[in-house]
Amino acid sequence: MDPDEIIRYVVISVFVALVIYALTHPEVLLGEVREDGAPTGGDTDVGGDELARALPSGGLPQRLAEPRPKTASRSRLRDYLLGGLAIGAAGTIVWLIRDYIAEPDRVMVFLLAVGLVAFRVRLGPALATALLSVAAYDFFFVEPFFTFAVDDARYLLTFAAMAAVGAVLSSLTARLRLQTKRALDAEARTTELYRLTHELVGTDDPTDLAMTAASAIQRAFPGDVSVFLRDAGGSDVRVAQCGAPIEPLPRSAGASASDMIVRPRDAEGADELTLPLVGQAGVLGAVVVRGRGSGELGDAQARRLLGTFVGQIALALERTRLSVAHSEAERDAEAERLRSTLLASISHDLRTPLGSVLGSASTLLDSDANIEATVRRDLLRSIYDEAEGLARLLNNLLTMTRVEGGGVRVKAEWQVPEEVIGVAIARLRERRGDRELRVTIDPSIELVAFDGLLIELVLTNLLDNAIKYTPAGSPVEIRVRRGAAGTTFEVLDRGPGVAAEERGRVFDKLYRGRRTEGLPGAGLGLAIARAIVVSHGGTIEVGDREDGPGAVFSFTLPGSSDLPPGDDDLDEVQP
Amino acid sequence: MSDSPVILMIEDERSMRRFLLALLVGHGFRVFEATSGEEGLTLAASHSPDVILLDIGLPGIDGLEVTRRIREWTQTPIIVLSARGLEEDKVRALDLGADDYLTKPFGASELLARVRVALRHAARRASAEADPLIVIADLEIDLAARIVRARGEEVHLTPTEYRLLSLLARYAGRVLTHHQILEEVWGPSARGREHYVRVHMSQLRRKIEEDPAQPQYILTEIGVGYRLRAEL
Repeated sequence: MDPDEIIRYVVISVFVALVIYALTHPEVLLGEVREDGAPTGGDTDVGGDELARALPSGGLPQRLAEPRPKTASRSRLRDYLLGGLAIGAAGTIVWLIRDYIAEPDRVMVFLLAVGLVAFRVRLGPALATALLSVAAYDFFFVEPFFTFAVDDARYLLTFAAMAAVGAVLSSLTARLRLQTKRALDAEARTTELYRLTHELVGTDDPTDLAMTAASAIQRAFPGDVSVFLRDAGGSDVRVAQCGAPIEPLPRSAGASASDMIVRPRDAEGADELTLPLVGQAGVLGAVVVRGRGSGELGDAQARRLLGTFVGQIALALERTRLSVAHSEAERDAEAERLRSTLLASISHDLRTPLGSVLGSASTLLDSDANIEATVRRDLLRSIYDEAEGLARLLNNLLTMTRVEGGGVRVKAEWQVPEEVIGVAIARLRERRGDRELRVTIDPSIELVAFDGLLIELVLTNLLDNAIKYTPAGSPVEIRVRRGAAGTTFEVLDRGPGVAAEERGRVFDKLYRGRRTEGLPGAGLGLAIARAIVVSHGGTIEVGDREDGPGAVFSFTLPGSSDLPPGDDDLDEVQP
Repeated sequence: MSDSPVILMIEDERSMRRFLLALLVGHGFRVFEATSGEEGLTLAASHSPDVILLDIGLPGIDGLEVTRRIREWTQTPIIVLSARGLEEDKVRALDLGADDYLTKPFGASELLARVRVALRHAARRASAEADPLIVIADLEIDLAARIVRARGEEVHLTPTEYRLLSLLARYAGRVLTHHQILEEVWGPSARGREHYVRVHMSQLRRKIEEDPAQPQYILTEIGVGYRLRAEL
């Protein structure tokens, strides 16, 4: 048999092997894109490097996160070497025991070697190994020995069979490994999905949610991930990114807003997907994913899974949106309820003084009535007093709605506490009667930062309260002292005090203490006091007096009472 | 009758006008009414009133604008009427040249006191001569000799305290804004340092008031400024 014939046989063998491979991989014949996204033309090493990456053990996410090896050619060379070594070993074994085994058994040893190699390496090296085994067998074990010449034509069939078996083994194991790899990837991604679902439940802020989602997607699909959320103006804003920042792909004309946009692998092997986040009310944003060149995003199953990820994220976003809407609705309902309670309560507090004003005024207007001068004065006095009370109530109401509605800006200025207390006392001059007002201020306190108008209202309300419950003739005390938390203002009365179980509620709007029955008031004063103190970042509370009966209402404004920085030049100005 | 002072009230609320008219006419003033800023400006020019009562919340051109325009040609005292909670408007009106303000709702005695103070200041300005001795109850301020006595005893004031007190005394009964006091006592460079005024005022009170937390002489107009009471 001359070398030409040998070459012909080798060509036939290879052809047979390819035919078998093609039969087991129909997509090659149809020229379809390989499932992992790479075009198949001329590239027959089916996912071999993926398989090589898939096989070493280790934590799945980490392994998935490994960048695609740039050493593909080196690993291919290693595969060929492995094939060569395996055939060398098979040849040596057969050579050593050639006298003890029959001819077909020798072939089997070579096939075994090819099979083992095929299990480890990609199709290319596997086929090369199969051919090498044919060549080695021919060279060493077929007469005439040590040439590629073949005397007996039936060996050609043997060679063809060897090549074919090698090819079949290679392709079968390649498929098996691809499936195994996909199964493992899918499992890892499902794990990630579960984890994401779990994490999303505990997240209420859309930005946190986007961050959680981006890192989960990156763990499942190594590459760059950016998450965009649609703002009120309808434009998508990137709120989270893992890896390099990437922009959403332009939407082609005619594509629906909820369609996934795909950019196939480019020259560098990177492919990109833009997946819109679709909620009930429309598009909430988008997730953009760029693969790392392994073409994984082309895998239909992977895309489906990615779609599930994005669906979960959209659901979670929808949930936060709804929960915000829900709490807003709840707040509105609460405000509405409060308004009606307020109205009901106020109308009572308005009706009584108005009745008195109308009654007094109509009595005075009645020209038939013979009214004594002193009675006349009393009636006028009561009109005046009631109207004044109404003005105070109105002022409280207005301030309440402004403070509650966020309409009040706290205009903190450096104030002298004594001065503001003086204003509050002056305002209550008529109401205090013969109750003495004692003011004690820590002499080290000079300036405290607060809004004078608002804190004056707090003090007026606390003093008004204290005067109301303190018996005539008993003093009401005001103390101002410094503490660790800031400056504390205390108003001490000689009233019945506030029961321990009521202390948490006396500052609630419209709450009237049980011991206040029969006394006028809308339950607004303390609520306003609290709202104002809280808006200053302070605290307000009520306790018992240490020296006998009575309550202490105190509020603390944070901050030192030191002079503002750089303004310590309060010294004299030359006249 | 022609000697009685003329008051122009610029107020859009009918019930308020009725109350003011009854009160002022009852106390011997001659009163002209305007229901809008435009009308008020016309009457201010044609009737040369002695005092103008001006509501800040007027329809059309508001009280602030009316104040600005009136101050372009006359120093006639303007008393601004405003609601509580609008302290910024009051301060703006005062800084624009209004002489005083009243917070609605106010009583008759308050209004009459403000009007009297305004008339007195207008008269003093006309005579271009200040009374060097100011006596308010137990407080005596001798502007010529620079001596202050409280309850019969001389009070020693620092130069700044004296400048503060003499400023308040010259405008006794009238409100002065923090801004105006800062300008007068510390000069324009102290702008924005209202706490200077507060600290020195509190020191001044400790020297002249019996109980500085319940002052009798220097009254705080919270959110606006200070006023030295003209009479007790």
